[in-house]
Amino acid sequence: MKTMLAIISNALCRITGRSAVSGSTLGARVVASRSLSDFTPQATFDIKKCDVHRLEAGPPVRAELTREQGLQYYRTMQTVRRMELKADQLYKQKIIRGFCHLYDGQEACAAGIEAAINPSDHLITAYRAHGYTFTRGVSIREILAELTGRRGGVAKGKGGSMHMYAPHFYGGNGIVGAQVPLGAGIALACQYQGNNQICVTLYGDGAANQGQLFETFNMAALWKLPCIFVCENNKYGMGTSVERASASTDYYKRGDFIPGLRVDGMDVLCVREAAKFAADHCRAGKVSEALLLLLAMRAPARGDAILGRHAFLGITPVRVKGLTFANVSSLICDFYGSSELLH
Amino acid sequence: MAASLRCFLRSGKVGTFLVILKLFPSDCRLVTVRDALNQAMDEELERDERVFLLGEEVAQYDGAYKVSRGLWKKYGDKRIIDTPISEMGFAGIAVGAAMAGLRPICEFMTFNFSMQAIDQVINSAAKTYYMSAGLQPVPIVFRGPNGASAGVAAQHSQCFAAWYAHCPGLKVVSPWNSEDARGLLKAAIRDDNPVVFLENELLYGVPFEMSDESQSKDFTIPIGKAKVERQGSHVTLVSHSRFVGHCLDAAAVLAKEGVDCEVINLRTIRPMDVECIEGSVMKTNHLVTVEGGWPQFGVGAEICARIMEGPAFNFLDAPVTRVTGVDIPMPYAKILEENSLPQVKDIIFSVKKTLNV
Repeated sequence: MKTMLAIISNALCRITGRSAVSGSTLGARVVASRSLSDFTPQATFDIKKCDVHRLEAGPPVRAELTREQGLQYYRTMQTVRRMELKADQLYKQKIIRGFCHLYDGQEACAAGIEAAINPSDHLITAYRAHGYTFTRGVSIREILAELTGRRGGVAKGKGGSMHMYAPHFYGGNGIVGAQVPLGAGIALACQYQGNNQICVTLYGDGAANQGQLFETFNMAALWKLPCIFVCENNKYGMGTSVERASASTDYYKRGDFIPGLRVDGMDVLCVREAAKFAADHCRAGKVSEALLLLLAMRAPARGDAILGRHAFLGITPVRVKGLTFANVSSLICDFYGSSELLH
Repeated sequence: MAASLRCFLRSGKVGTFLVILKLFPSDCRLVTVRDALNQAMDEELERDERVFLLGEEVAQYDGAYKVSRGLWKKYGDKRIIDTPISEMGFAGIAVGAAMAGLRPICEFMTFNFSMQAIDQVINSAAKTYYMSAGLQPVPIVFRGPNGASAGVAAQHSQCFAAWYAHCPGLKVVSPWNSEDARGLLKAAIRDDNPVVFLENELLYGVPFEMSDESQSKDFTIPIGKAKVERQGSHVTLVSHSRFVGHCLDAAAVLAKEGVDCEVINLRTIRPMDVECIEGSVMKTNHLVTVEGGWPQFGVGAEICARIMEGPAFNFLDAPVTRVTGVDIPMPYAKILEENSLPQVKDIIFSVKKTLNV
């Protein structure tokens, strides 16, 4: 396959070279070209080590990424980012009413978790749910229709931003912390039905101080529920910083008897590896639950675009927010042709 | 004789039960409310694998009030789950399990403790089917004793019928006798909506006759339909739960004085069977509501409003009278407690006042 592509590629180079001379564009020559055969199918990246709580070891510190996966994660995160930026615009135009809790800047969490679990697993989150609504299978059209109160919305316009549902996705919950016992209940159902599925239950740093969380942790540990609790820490609960709200900001330890990990939430590979580790932990029935912490910073300014188009035309190293590649420019170029990332 | 027997029975003494067994022929079944609830749960657990019970003391202790006696022995840890004292947590867990396809029965030791979990009942259970435009049903039953008990004072004696019946998305059911308890609990468990099932602790030990057809494993009473317990022509008495018995007692006393009372057992608070009440009022022209809860924004207040809004208003010869619990936190001393709840004499007094006799 590779050699065949190489032959075709070389042939094309020669052909274009010839026609450029005889055609209207005098002097233009293809200096170099890339073909699919030149790209690396897979690469391994170093990722940040996770702090552990009540665990012998954490997830691996190296992550493998194939072309397809990379493209998929990128596409997912880019789509969520653009959807959220658009929602922001619509909200400012008052076309979206009420609440609109945006997920831009945190996309790596949603993309990483979805990459680590199966579609048959379950997920429930709080009200900052647009990203997960998408990763769990609802179309952009249905999400934006729901946000704008249209009949074509996933909840026919009756739910709004905070109440969108899909198979194995339980919203979208407006009351801070209420989704955590619900998630443990979904995990109980998985255990009851013996289907080897797990439930990922997300909450924010603000909800981490809710009493019902600790009630839930107790029962989840007692009954060994297959539940991954995930705290998405974006350093603020509404306007209150974590230092002013929590006596302990080591949220990954707050589960006490529940093992925990502190994860870099800005790195999709770090999130994926940690979530995979946690999922295996749950499913293996060892302790049957884990607590995951994600560090995610909210995007400071709306104009902070995920990437400038120009950045990819050259061979400059690019740090894609939420999608961290190793700082090797040639690796980026080896990985993707620029045309694939511009769309 | 029947009335005085019933009064005697209602004191709940076991000895009476055994005496009655000898007096009545064997094909007339006397079953306590507790046993009726127990049998209903047992049959539903057997019928549907997805049904399970969770709550404090429901398993190894056989139930705080022994309503779930024997179930843990029969079904084990998977189906009958003891929880820690974490109402908000375990109510939320029950709702989550319902969302994921199971059919939980969530027991609150009393409904006073449901206040700790009321966010899960209302915001997570009641509203979800609507908010999701039908995508996410929540087939759960919240059950437990409601209202006043005996000497348990203010924090353990509140009636939550009006609180829960206020909310769209919930069904609220309040059985009186054993047949109500059995049929309504089975119907509640089979219903795909969240149902709040308000029992009464003082009724658990009271035996009632049960018909033959009520022994069928598929016997259910439709939620949303009231029952006329006693036909009458002079005045309509509407009540729910324990006070239906008080109404029947009052009716017996009033019958001797020539006043013929029609007694309606609501059975379901939400959705309320207004047609039944209207039909009765259009016949008797007088209405008295009786409940254990407080008067403001209560069940009686709702009945008054609905009667006013419907065709029955024009048939009223006198304003509706509400007989309710006194508008105070429940006191402890026996004499104070007794006088804080509707008694038979209060119902008789209200009827006579309404009829102007």
